[in-house]
Amino acid sequence: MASVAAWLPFARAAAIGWVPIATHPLPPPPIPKDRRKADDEKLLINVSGRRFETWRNTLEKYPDTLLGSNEREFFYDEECKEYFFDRDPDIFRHILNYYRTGKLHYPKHECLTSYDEELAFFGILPDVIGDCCYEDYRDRKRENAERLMDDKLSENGDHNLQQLTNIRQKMWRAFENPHTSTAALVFYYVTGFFIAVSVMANVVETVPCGIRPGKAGPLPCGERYKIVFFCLDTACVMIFTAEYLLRLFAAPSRYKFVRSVMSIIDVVAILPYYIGLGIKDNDDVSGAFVTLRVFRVFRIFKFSRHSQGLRILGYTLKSCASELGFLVFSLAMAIIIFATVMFYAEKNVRDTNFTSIPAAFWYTIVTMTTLGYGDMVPETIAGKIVGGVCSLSGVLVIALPVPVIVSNFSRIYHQNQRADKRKAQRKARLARIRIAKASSGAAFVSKKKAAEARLAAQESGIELDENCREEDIFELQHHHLLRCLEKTTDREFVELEVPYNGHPKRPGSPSPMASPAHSAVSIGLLQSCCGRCCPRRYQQACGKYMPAASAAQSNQTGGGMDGTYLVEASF
Amino acid sequence: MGKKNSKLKQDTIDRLTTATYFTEKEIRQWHKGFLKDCPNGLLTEQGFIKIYKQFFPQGDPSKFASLVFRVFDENNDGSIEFEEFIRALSVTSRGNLDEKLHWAFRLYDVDNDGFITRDEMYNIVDAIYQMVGQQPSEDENTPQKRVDKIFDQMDKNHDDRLTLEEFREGSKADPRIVQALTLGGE
Repeated sequence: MASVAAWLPFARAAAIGWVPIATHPLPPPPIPKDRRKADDEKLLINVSGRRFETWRNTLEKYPDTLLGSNEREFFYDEECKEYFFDRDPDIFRHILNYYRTGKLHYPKHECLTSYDEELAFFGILPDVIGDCCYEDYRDRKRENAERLMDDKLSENGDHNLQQLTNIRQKMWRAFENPHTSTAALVFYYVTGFFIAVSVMANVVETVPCGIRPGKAGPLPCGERYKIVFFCLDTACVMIFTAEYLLRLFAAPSRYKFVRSVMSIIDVVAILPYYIGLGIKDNDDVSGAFVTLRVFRVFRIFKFSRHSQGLRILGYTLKSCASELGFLVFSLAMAIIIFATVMFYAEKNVRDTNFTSIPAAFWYTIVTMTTLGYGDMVPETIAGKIVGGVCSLSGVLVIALPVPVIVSNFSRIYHQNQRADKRKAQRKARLARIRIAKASSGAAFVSKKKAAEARLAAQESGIELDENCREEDIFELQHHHLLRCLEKTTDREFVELEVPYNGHPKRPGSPSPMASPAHSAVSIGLLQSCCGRCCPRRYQQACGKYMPAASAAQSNQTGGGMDGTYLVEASF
Repeated sequence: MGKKNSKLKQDTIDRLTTATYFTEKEIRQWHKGFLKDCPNGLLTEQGFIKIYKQFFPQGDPSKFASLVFRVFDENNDGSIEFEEFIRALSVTSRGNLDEKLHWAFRLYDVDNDGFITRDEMYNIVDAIYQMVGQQPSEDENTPQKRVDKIFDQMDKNHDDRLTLEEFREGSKADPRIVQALTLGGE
C-alpha cells in the first residue's frame, strides 16, 4: 500500500485504545501546526551555492522526508549556521515549493532521471506530484522505460550472439540478421532476386506477344513461351520451398514460426504451384486453377522481410485498426443512405441505370471518392442535388481518419529510426568510454610499477634523483596496499589489453582496485605487512595515518603474522 | 456495476460534513487517498492489517488491528466503506472526550453486549503486547494487575463488568487519561 504518512492518522486511532490501559502516562503529542510565529525560526539552506530561506514549520510539514525530519541535521554546517546540500539547485527549487504549497510540480525541461534522483535523495515519493504535472511525468517515465527496455533487449540480443552452440541457432541468426555473415547476406540477396524474378514473370506472362492462331484475341506470352515460364516458375518455387524448409528447421520454436505471418505468406506463395501440379488441366477445375494463379501475386509480400518500411506500414495498419474500422463503418453508412435516396429519386426515369439500390451503391462509391466515372449519371433535379451532397460529404468522411493513421505511421517510423540510431551510437559510445577507462587504469598500474621500481632501487642502495620525490603519501599507501594484496593472493596486477571490439582481455587476474578498501581486513593486512615487508620509514608513515592499526595490532596473536592467516581470521 | 463504491456522491459528502468534524475539502482529499489504496472503495480486514503492519513492523499487530477493524466497521459487513472510515477518523482524531471514550468502549467491548468484562480487557492488553512483539512480561501479573486496578477504580457497583457510564465516569476521573485523550489527535 502507498505512502505511510498518509495513513498515519488512521493508525493513531489505535492510540485511543491504549490510553486507559497505559501503565505510564503517554508522551504528549507533537506540537500542533498552528503554533505562534514567535516560536518559529528561519532556516538557511545552501544548495550548491544558491541560498534558500524558509520557516522551520514549512519544512516540518512533511516529517517523513529528509528535510522534514532529523536527517537534515546531518547536513548542518556549524560554522555558517546553514544546511549545505551538494545537489542541483534548479530542481531543489521545486522541492522547496512542495513544502511551501503542498504541491509538487514537474518541470518539463528537466531530465526525468535526474529529477527522480533528487526526489529519492530528499525522500519524496513521486506519487505526490500534482495532477497538473502528473500526466506528463508518467508519460515521460513510460517513454524512458521503453527506451531502456529497448536498449536492454538489444544488449541481450548482442550477448546471445556470443553463445551459439549448434548449427540450428547459427542458421536462425543468419536468417534473422543477414548482415552478420557473408553467407547470410548472399542468401538474403538471392532470395530477394528470385522474388523479384517471380513477380516479373507473373506480370510479363500476360503481355500480348502476337496473334492467337485461329482465334481473334491476342496471344499472351505465357501461352507462347509456356515451357520457359514454367521452368522459371519451377526454379523460383524450388528456391522458396528450400528457404521455407530451412527456416522451419532452424526456428527455435517451430509452432510459433508456423503461426507467424511471414511463414503463412511463404506457404501461400508456394502452394498454388504444387496444387497446380496436382490438378490436371481440364475444364471443370480450370476456374479454380485460374484462382490459384492469382494467389501467386502474394509472393510480393515476401519482400517485407527485405524492407523495413513495408513492415512498418503493416504494423501501422494493424495498430490503426480502430481508425480504419471507423472509416469503413462510416463509409458504409453513408453509402447506404445516399444509394437509397438516389435510387428512389431516379427510379422513374426512363432507361435509367439506377435499377436497384445495390446498383446505386456503385454510383455512390464512385462519387464519394470523387472518381466520377460518368457511367451512371443522375437525370432528375432531386437526383442531382443528392449527388452533389454525396460528393461533398464523401470528401469529409474520408479525410477525417486519415491524419490519425498518418501520425501513427510517422510516430512508429521515427521510433524505429531512433532505435537504430541509438543502437549504433551506443556501441560507439561504449567503446570510447571503455578505451578511456582502460587507459586511466593502465596509467595507474604503470605508475604503481614505477613506484615499485623506485622502491627496489632504493632498497638496493642505488641513488635516486631528487625530482622523483613528489609522490604524495596517499599514493604510497595505496600502492603499498595493493602490493600487500598481491602478496597475499599470490597474483599480480597487470595492465589490461583493450582490443578494439571493446572487450578487455583479462589474463586471469583481479582488476585493479579503484579505491583503497577501508575494511578491517585491509587495516589488518596493512599493519601486518608494515611489520614484515616495509622498511622503517614506511612503518612510521603507516603508523601516522592509521592510528587504529596499533590498537588492532595488540589484538592479534603475536605469532604467525603473515597476511594469509590474518585474512582467514578476519573472515 | 463492480465499482459502485468508488464514486463519492454529493449526498454522501453532505451527510459526512454534517455528521463529522471534517470539511468537504478534507473529505475529498481523504477520498482520493482512500481510493489510491483501495480502488474498489472497500477496505478489507486484510488490507487494514497490512497497513498496521507497516506502522508496527516489529511484533504482530494483526490481533489488535482486527479489533480496531471491528470498531471501524459499523454495519459489520466485513469491509470498511469510505463513510465508515471517515466517521471513525473524525471521532478518533477530532472528537471530544466523550466521543473518544465511547469509541474506546466499543473497542474493548468485543462481543458488543454493552459491558466490558475482565476477560475482554485482558484480551485487549494481550493484543497490545503482541503489537510490541513481546509476551506480557515474565512477571505475568503486571498487565493483569493493571486491568484489575482499572476495574476496581471504575466498577462502581462491583458487578465485575463495566458499563459505558462507569467507563466514562471512571476515565474522566483519571487526569492522565483526560490529558492524553484531549491533546491526542490532529
